[in-house]
Amino acid sequence: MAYSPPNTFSATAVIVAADVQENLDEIKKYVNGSAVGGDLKSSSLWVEPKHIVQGYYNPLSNMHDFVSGVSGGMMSDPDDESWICDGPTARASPSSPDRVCYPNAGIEFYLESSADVLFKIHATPITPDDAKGSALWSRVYMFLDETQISSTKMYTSNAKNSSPTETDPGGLWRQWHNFYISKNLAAGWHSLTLRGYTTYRYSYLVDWGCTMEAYYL
Amino acid sequence: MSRIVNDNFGPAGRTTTAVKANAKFTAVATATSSLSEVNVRHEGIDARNLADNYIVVKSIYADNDNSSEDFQYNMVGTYGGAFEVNHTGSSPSAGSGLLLDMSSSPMVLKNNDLLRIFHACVLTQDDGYGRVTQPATDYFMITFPVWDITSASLSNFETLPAHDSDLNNAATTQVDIDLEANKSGGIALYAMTGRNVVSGTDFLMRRNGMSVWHYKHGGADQTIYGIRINANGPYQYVQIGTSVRGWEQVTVSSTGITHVKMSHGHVGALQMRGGQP
Repeated sequence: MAYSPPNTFSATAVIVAADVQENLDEIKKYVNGSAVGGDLKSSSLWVEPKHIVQGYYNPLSNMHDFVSGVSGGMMSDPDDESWICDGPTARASPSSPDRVCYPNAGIEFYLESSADVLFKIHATPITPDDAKGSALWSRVYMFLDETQISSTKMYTSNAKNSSPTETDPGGLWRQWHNFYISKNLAAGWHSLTLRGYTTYRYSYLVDWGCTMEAYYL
Repeated sequence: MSRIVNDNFGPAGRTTTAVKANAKFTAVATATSSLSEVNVRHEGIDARNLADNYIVVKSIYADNDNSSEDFQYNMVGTYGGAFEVNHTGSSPSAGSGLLLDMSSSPMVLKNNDLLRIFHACVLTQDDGYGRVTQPATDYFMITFPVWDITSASLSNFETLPAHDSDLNNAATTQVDIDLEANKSGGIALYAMTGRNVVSGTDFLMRRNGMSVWHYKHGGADQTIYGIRINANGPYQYVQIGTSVRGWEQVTVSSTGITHVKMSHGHVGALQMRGGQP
């Protein structure tokens, strides 16, 4: 709301320096970030093109910076694949498999101030079957910075087992899509990554992408 | 706003009056009540602040994340029918489920506001109900958002606009799907096909489902007290007549799968608004 002086002076009283200073301090607070939408002139439209900031587009990171937030994302190229292996993840069935990043499947971004941020991802994961006859799968999670978002858990399972009569056409070609909304994410650098593990020799993604929309609070 | 006229006080040694001091601060107060082009320079505003470029008015998010991999939601019984995707564990508390509770601070959609509802879950066969066989038909389960626009008691959840109301019917019903009044947008489908592992008791029916519902509100203000994720099924795809497609509810026993569990669910919503329509 508009600036309101905390002290009003009287003709019959001494003007106290501390009161004047308090009034000035309130002005400083207002100018430094307390103006709100309700303070804007509404009697007529006054915005002209010169007042509009177009936003800055960074073609390297595919990020578009606005005064009110940041948008961006990445899409894999048509022939790209992003691989993880069981070597550093879930080989020999550890109780707590290590999660590793799917290469080139994340984004980094910078927030000028705290923001509500929407993330969306999609991917086609493939975890082949090797007729081992055991449960083979991969799992993936969205990670915001170094924090696993457990509710974004996504699976694959093997395409078929050793029984030759059963097939699962949906086993190989699954679709992953998920989202996350981070409320009041702090200013500064952040990253969104896809991290997971696999019990098969390898698992990989084709046709993946992720987007983010940040809205400054 | 206007520019503030800088009415300086006199040089050192001269006296001032309360009137001048008050006038100084009143000028600031008056000016800051109506900021305008006079006050906008380098920082400015950007295109997303203007009409048809949306910014977030309200955001809300809920999940069942307790850093465990075992939390789960309730299961389908012996027959289908809509049910709430409720949490059965202790953290968060049982029954809280995938609910965006706005009863204490309702979301109010204005004309031309955009509401985006996201949700995702994982569907698996529960290990405790034995081995099952591969379904002969591609049956599927669904999850979908419903909202309570009646009261803060959150006891009147109903289907969203452009969804068949039978989606949220507890009885066995057929769901119509078309491109107008009975759209499928916002509904997540979970195929019930999967694999038996050789050891025999686990059924690898692991399906991720996610969907997004976009709704541009028109007309008078619409108050929303809560958004919940419900589930229904099993269904199979059918053709009804010559032009209508739909999902026909089938008995659980016919699928060969007696129970499923929903886990790793989360739901979020963004209310977005542009400038003047």
